Amino acid sequence: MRARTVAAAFSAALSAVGAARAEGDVVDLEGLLERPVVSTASKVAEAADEAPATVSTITAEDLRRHGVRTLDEALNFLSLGMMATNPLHHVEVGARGVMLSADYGNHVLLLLDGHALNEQLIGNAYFERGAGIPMELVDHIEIMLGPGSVLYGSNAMLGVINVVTKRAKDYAGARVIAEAELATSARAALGAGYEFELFGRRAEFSAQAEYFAHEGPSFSFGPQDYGPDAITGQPKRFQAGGEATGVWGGTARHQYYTRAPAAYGRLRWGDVELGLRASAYERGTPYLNYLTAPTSDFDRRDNRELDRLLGVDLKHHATIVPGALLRSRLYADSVYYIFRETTSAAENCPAADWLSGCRRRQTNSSRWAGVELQGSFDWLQDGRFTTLVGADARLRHVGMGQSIRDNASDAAVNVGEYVGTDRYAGVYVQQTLRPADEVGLNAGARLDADQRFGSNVSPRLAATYRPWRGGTLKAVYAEAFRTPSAFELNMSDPSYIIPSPGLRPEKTRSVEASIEQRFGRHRVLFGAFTTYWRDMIGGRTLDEAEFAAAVERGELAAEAPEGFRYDNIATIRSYGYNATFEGALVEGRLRYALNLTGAQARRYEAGAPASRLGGSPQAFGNARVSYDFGEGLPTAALAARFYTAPLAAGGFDDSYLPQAQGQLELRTAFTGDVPGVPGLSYRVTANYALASHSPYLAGPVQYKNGDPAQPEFAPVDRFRTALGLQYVLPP
Amino acid sequence: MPAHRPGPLLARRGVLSAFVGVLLGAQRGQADDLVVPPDLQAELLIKVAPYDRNFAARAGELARVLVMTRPNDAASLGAGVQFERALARRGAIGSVKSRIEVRPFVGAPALKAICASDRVSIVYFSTGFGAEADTIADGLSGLDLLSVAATPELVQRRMVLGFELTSGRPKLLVNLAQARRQNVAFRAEVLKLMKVYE
Repeated sequence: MRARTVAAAFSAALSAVGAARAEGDVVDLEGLLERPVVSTASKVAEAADEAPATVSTITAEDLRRHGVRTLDEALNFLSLGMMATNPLHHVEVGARGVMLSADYGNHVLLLLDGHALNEQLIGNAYFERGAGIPMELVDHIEIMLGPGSVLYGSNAMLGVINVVTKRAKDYAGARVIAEAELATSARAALGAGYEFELFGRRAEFSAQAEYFAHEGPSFSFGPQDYGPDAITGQPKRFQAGGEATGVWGGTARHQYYTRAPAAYGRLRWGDVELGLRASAYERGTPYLNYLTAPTSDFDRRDNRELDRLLGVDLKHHATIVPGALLRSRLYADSVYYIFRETTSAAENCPAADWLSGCRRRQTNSSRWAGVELQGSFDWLQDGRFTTLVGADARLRHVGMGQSIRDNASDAAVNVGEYVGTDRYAGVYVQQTLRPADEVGLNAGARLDADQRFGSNVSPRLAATYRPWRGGTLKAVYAEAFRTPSAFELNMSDPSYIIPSPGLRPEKTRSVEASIEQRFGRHRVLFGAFTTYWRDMIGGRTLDEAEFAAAVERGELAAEAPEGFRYDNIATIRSYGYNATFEGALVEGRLRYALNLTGAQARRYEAGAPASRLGGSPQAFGNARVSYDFGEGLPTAALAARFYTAPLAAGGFDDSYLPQAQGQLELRTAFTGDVPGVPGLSYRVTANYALASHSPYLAGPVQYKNGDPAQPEFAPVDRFRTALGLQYVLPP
Repeated sequence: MPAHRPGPLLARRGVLSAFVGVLLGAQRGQADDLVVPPDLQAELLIKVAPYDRNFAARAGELARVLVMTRPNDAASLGAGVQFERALARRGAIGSVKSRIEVRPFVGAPALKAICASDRVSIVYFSTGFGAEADTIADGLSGLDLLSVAATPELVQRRMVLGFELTSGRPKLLVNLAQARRQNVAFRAEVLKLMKVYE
């Protein structure tokens, strides 16, 4: 009896241990299923904690739960290490404490399914509606922080954002979407995803087309007392009719709008994939600003910008022999930009007798095409010793020019004209080595040869070490660069600016270290970084000798008040940390995350004291929580994003950098299926911004009532609510 | 006057011929869509398999794993070998030692015979088995065996277990009807983590 009792007790104990071990394994399994697989950092699929960079992902589910409509909202409410600010169009993106205002997004490489969206005249990328990415089609967004030129070349200095779209299996059927933000915008979309067979091979396509339109709200500005027109001596005009008062401001009712049709689709047939993208982005910004409209009349509907974008990408991949994979890609893009503004002020016009003002039409065009070949060789066929080699060659054709016409006589002058074609090529190699299960090493370099500046090498070294279960230590050294843009090299206007040949590429190098711990469905990460930026391109005033030489060459008019050119003028140093704490509870129904970045950044320029970067907050982050009630009830979500008070951005005068407001923005969302109507789902969101203004200075004088202590900042649309419906017809 | 001089956007002949050359040269192996990296697939399998109530009895002291690859398919062989090596590095499935073998697929009847004679516990199908999935499932029905697919669409085609990526996260897929036919019964605590096909 005793032996039987002991045996029974022992068996029960083993079962309990087994159950405890099994429960631990379930926790491990849950953790594995939460472990993101990314491909942006190495161009091969790998677990994010093993990638040679800090990479975070935003899932389609995150986007849906929190009612995210645009890429900048995704960055602000859901990402680690990146943030966006919105000066009412031309969203700007910064990372790790560095926001380079007025760079038009050319320090972040934006990819759509691996296809670079940065155009080739300025390097411009859009992160708001102008990106032309239907959000319902997004599978996930990978955000790689820090230099990424080792595999991607130019522009990948702050980081790389790769928007990956859904396969047909995750976007099955046809769908209709209608959404409205009360009472300012509306969006309608059609989408479809199907799998089928074509000539005996698996095929699929997924695509969505949409139209977004927005009007207002109205915003009040000023009064800003500008004073007299330098040509007429009379109070400056900021409107066509009525009395000239020399005062800018009022209520802008007509000029804040957006029209953004967009379509994107992918077709896969066997190992061939075709991606097509088309979009337009027309918008008006309701105030004078450095970014787009420095001289416009107030509240004119016809002051506007328009982009038209087309892109195509054809890919193929094949395994040649076991362990050797070859990928090839052909791509081509076209971007055409028009900017129109009308000014009623004589001093804004190139001819002194244009007393009624003038209208400008700036056109930029950027077309490029290229081919990329890439081979990966898994020498031991076990992922432990893999070589990646690649080459990317591109032909670029860009042009720009400005036509200015007298409002009265219609006489015209053309300035700043440039058309050019140049070539660019890069070759890269990456070697990964896993000498043990716990250790990963990654070394790579890319050589870029660019007709615009010569050549550049961008290296990266990374090491990961997993010393205990769920823990990862990571260290990364990387460099990146940005090609001087065709605009910076060639922009000229005899009234004020000369071409700037000989510009060197901007460069950055970064060292970072991080520790990450996964425990079940939860994850904690803390990383520290320091970056150094040099040869930053900016505008500077010509000295007397340079001015005289420019006049002699015919590049500058002798009567020009000043002369400018672009030059490599500044360095930036920054250091800081990223931290994240995220996870899920209650079988995944409750999801939470907290992301925080703190950084110090200083800009150094010869002859000037060290200064903070305008528009760059020293801390920013977000927090979110959501709960899926299930069983026909909605998912409720609450998110918040914040940034601490930065210095102002967007100033006409570099020395005027007043303190701007920080921001705390709250977003609540309810999503779910409409009861009783299969296929119909809804999304209701409300957004509230506590701070009433952004960090962007507004107006010609940029402060109110003649008092520099009253800076005028662009307003924020503080309260927004939206309702959206989606109906999906199953395949 | 603006001078918009049209220029060639591509050196068409050179670029296109390179692209076509790649397509022709790569005909020996079409890379199927192996979405979850093999290393992660192996990790998931060793965690999930012991949750099959019948795994311990099926495996005994040694879990025999067969990795099937498609003949003359470089992608299938490469993916299969990667998976085999990832699984071999881990040594055991649950608490049971494993022995893994890579073999070319020569037909469903031969596979059935090998599984029965060698007391195979797990058969893993590398990429490229779309055309044979139904006959394989028919052949394995009635055997005491966990079938695992590298690519997700095969689970709808009656492989018991599979993997897919959604939003960059791995997901487990299970075909419950085929699981019953192959004497596989996953515990509830793991089933609720899986996407279920009946």
